[in-house]
Amino acid sequence: MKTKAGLTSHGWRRLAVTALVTVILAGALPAQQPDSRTPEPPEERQAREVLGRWIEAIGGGTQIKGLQTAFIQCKIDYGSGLPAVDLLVRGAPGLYRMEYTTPAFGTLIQAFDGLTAWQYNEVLGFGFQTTQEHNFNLVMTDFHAPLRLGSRYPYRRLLPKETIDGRQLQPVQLRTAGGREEKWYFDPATGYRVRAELPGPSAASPVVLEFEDFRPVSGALVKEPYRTIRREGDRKTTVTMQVVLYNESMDMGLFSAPAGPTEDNRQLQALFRRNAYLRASLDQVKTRVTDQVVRITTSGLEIPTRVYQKRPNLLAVVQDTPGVGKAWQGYDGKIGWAWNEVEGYREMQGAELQQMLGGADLEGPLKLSAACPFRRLLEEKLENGRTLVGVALASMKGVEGNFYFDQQTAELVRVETFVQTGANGQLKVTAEFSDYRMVDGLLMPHLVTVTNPAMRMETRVRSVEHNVPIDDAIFAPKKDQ
Amino acid sequence: MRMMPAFVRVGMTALGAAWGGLAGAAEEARQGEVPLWPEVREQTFNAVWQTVNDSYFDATFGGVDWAAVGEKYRRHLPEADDKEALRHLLRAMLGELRKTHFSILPREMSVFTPAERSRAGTVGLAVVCVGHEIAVEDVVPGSPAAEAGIGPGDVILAVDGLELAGLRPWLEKLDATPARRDLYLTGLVSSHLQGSVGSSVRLQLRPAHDAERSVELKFTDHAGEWTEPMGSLPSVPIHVIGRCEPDGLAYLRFNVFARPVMKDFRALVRQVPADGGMVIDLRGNSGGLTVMASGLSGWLSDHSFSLGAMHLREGHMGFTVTPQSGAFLGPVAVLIDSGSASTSEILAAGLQEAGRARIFGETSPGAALPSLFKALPTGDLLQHAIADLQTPHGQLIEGGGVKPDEVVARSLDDLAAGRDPVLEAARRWIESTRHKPAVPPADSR
Repeated sequence: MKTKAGLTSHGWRRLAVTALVTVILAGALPAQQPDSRTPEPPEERQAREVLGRWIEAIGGGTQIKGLQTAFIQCKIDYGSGLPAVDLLVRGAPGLYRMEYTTPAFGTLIQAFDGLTAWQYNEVLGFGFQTTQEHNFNLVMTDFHAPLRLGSRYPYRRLLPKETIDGRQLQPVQLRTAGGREEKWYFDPATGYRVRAELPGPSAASPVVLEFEDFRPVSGALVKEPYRTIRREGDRKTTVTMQVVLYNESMDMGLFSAPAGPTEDNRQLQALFRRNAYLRASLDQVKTRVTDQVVRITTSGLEIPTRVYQKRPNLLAVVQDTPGVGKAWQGYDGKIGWAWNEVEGYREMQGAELQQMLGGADLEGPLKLSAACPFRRLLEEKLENGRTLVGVALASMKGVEGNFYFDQQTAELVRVETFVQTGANGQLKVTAEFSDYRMVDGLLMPHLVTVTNPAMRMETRVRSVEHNVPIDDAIFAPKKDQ
Repeated sequence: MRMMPAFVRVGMTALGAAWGGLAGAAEEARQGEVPLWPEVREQTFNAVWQTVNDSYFDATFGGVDWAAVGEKYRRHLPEADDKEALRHLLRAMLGELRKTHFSILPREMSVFTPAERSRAGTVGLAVVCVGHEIAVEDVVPGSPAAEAGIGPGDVILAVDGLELAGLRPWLEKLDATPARRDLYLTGLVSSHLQGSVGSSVRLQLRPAHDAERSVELKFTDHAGEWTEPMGSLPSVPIHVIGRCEPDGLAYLRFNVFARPVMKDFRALVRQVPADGGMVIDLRGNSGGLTVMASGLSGWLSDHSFSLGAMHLREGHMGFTVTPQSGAFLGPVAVLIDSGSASTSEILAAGLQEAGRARIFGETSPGAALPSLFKALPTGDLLQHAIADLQTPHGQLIEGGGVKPDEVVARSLDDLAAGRDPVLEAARRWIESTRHKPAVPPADSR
């Protein structure tokens, strides 16, 4: 899903989170006491003293320990004409609720009530957060983190003073147990941390944070930087705090997951888990060769097709279309490509490549649940004597489609979605899956009927062979035919 | 990550190969007895109406009440006593949409096997619309037309007793551009110039330098290459002229966008010197495989750009050009006329807007709706448009056509004298341009 300014929904949320975490963690560093049993190197002691002075400057450990609830309202501005994101954070010990809002995308809520880490968007629906997302959010909203600085940054070292933008600053190097290194800069006059350099997506583009406009916070004797500027290469993001309230009374019900959707999701999880028995059989599959015929019933066209798959996600599709000739598509682990006699060679990008990779993955069906954390139960359908359970699936990237399962067998019966067609195309399609047959312990549909606005196609699987030796050369781009 | 299985994606490639050609009217077909005719008739009518109802690219049908249209013509269904009457009824119903690429093609005239090629014999002449008259453009040496003394520039006044001048008032009433009317007329005559081997066609001619006369020509076998049938899409003869002249000018003319043309085109690209020029002559080319427009363009560019997009009822597909290794990057001229329809228009408009080619000739007819062919219960074929086509700048080609950068027309005298002022204009431009660096596309990088 794209916002009007072209930033993906996933993209703005990720940037918003990254920007916010830098703000909130700014007040989340403890003055750890040294271990009296081992002598403390002088540069570590000096670093601890600088950090301790900073903690005192922003309110002190006692005040931070006394934080019980937080209400933070801020605006995240990406510049470059991209829409700003409004972020509202509510926190209590072990609980959080964050609301990200843009005019184009609406509001995304991510929350944790102590039991369930859930998320909701009116377009994407309701879903559970992934473990990774939840852990990230927990860290981000842990207002008592200063008391745990030692475990987060076991290694700290004072560095020689540096002059940056005309100011002499005191840098401290910090390292996590995982080896991640950061460099923080402190203003010797105020004790505030005013700058931090963090590892970026690549070594060439570190993330630089600048903290400004320190103000006392209502409800607690602590101070927060009301403006944080994040720079990564040419990109500049500004986070401006609008309201910060600590220790206000809070409606704890806001953290709770809605009962109905939660129960629906549990049922769906159970439905997905019923396919888990495939796991053992699927683990045995290293390669797959599928012979099939694509018949475009509305045009009387038959296209013999052979699909080669090899772990982890190598793919080659060979077709011979009457009137068009031979056509190949493939993924060699690096490049997704296509070649046919009429259009020549091209490499796939973006959504088209992602779609190909989704189809290339032998474990794709098992990953569906994890890939689509947002789920909305649709009305049950009674068709041909069987009950179909429908679920609208979505990920942070947008709506994936409506998936219908046989309630009794858990077989996937129908998918209503949009598919990428070529480098620049998208079509609404409905795919019907039937004639399930067991192949080497795997239940596979042998007839797939796809209808789109222009035509109807049937794909009849003629044969499936597993663990046939496949030379990797078949997946390599075929530029010259 | 989309989890749609590979086979869903695979079928989409075939959609990309939608036909953008005008099938053209076919000659009167022999009528045959069909068992259970009322049932077949009913099924055929339903298939046509339903197919259009399901796949017409505009959910509003351009303001046409398609359900009411269906009822209107269904009332006349019992009057359709035979296949030909049903064809007339169905064509009239499809005509209510006022769009190109909706037609009913008689199975008897369609060629799907080599044995059936005798259904589409030739008299060996090609026609072109010149000043709203249908004239002979070219005559195949040794053909029945050549033996009858017919030559380029001769005007066809009537075909099988049908006086073309008498059709003009009817054509004037059509809601169509002059170029579209010329296309209808050219297509009508061309369809009469194709028939069962052994049968004949009578032409009333006004030779370039002689008195009116009437000739009867017998159809003979269509020698040469044919396209491969593509499902319900019949086979048609292919004519390709490809040559690279000593002065470095490559010239390519072909009558249909079909796979075999790519082979000739690639060979030509390999022959033409880097500082040469290229003329792609699409005059009289009524279209073909739509994806070939982007396929050909890939050999004319070192970067990717768009030729436009086809918009279906729910979704769209772009004609994206992918540069091919060894592409020709020198000046390219494209020649068009009122016979350059469909894929020809997609290619010409796309190259023109991308700044990759200069267009010479006359405005094209504006008949560029990607379409598919479906076999009907009677055996006839339904051609139905499934998408509208927009250029990268958002222009609809359907109805408007492609306007040349340099308008140049041939006269009857030109045809008779073997002159081609359109080609000459293109040559002059190429000569003036070829030694300068190629101009990159304006807005496609």
